[in-house]
Amino acid sequence: MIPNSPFRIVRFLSVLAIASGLAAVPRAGYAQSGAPQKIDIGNLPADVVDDVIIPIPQEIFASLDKLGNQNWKSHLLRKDVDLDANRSRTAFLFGLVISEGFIAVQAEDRDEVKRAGREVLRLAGALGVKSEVEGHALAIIDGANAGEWSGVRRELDRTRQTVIDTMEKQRDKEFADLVSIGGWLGGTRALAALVSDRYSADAAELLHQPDLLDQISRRFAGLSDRARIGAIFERVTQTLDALKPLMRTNGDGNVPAEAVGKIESLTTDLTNAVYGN
Amino acid sequence: METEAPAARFAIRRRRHARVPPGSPRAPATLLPVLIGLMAGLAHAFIHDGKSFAIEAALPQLELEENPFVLREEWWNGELKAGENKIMQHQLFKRNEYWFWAGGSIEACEVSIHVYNAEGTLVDAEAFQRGNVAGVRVVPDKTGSYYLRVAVEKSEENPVEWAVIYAYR
Repeated sequence: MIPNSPFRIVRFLSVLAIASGLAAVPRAGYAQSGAPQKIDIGNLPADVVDDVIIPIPQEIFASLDKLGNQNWKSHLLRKDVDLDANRSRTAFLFGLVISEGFIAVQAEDRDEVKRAGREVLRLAGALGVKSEVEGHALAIIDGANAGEWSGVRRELDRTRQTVIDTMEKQRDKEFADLVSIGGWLGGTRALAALVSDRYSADAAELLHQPDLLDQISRRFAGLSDRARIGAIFERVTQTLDALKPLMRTNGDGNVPAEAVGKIESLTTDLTNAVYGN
Repeated sequence: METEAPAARFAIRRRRHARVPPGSPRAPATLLPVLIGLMAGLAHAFIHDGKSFAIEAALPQLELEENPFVLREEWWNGELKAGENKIMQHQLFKRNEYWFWAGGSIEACEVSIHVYNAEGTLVDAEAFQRGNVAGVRVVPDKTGSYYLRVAVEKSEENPVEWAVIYAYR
């Protein structure tokens, strides 16, 4: 029987490939023999660092969870979003709300996940991308009702990506960058707060993100004045600059507890300032 | 980044493999150029063959019964000629495990992908290369920046549109 949907076709082909021994089976010897054992990191072209994908909070949380149970509930913001006419702030808030959704999923807090779903829809409306996001937002709310947390995580990433893609299509790439940066800020705030609660060098190492932070700073600095309207964005620059020396390892290869505390304080202050309440 | 419409999980659509079902009404000849233009525009906006091939290669890891890898929605893409490579910097987190898959848009090409640490040393835990798809698994021993090197080793047509997707668990 020939499968008739694209997804089934792919599955069918995958099964055929596995059956015929042609599937994506690792063949380390073959590939590694052809790969350079070393590359010169010091002489990389500039576009290497212009093409960075910012990790979603869930990627970092997945690692933190492997160190033991975390008290995610205690670091949910439970804040309402007050919208204004500043589209840049709205884009930044969108990223923050998505990160709150990820935290709420970690906490398995249905009400907060549903709140994130509703806020996502409201913010998407303000950004002019409501129709593109509606299905995702409803899936987030339905997933929360059903307790299907892995599905909700997937929808949160899809929501984020849909907004970014749509804004890029609408030639609003700068606002798309603000969504990404807002999401990173929200995830970093929760991560720093959790690591502060129960400091360990292993957990704190997740905050070692100097190159990523440099990239985020460059991306933010490259935004036009149009995309950085409002005093809040001066604070973003100041906070990113202040974070740079903190998100590095010290001579022992650790991000020390004092630095983690400062990261928590800086990111929490900025988050509160963006929410404005 | 190229854009992609929200779609069903792992849905794959290829412009090359698009077929008109038997019995479909034919468009009047005068409308044909308009329709072709419209469809080409849509195809360009929504479809990337390299990504489709990469997702096909990823499926076994994304559909594991236990602890499947979680595919990120964001991805890299670009164009390379045979013999060229592109390096991307990416933050990885210790204790996570990652798979990266590269796909070339042309079936008659050979792509490869490998990962290096901040010192430039190869850190592939395992890797495969199969024509126009390749993959590499990484288990980072430190949190920090890593470098993905995607290359078009051979190709009968140039340039090749490539895509790199990744998943974590």
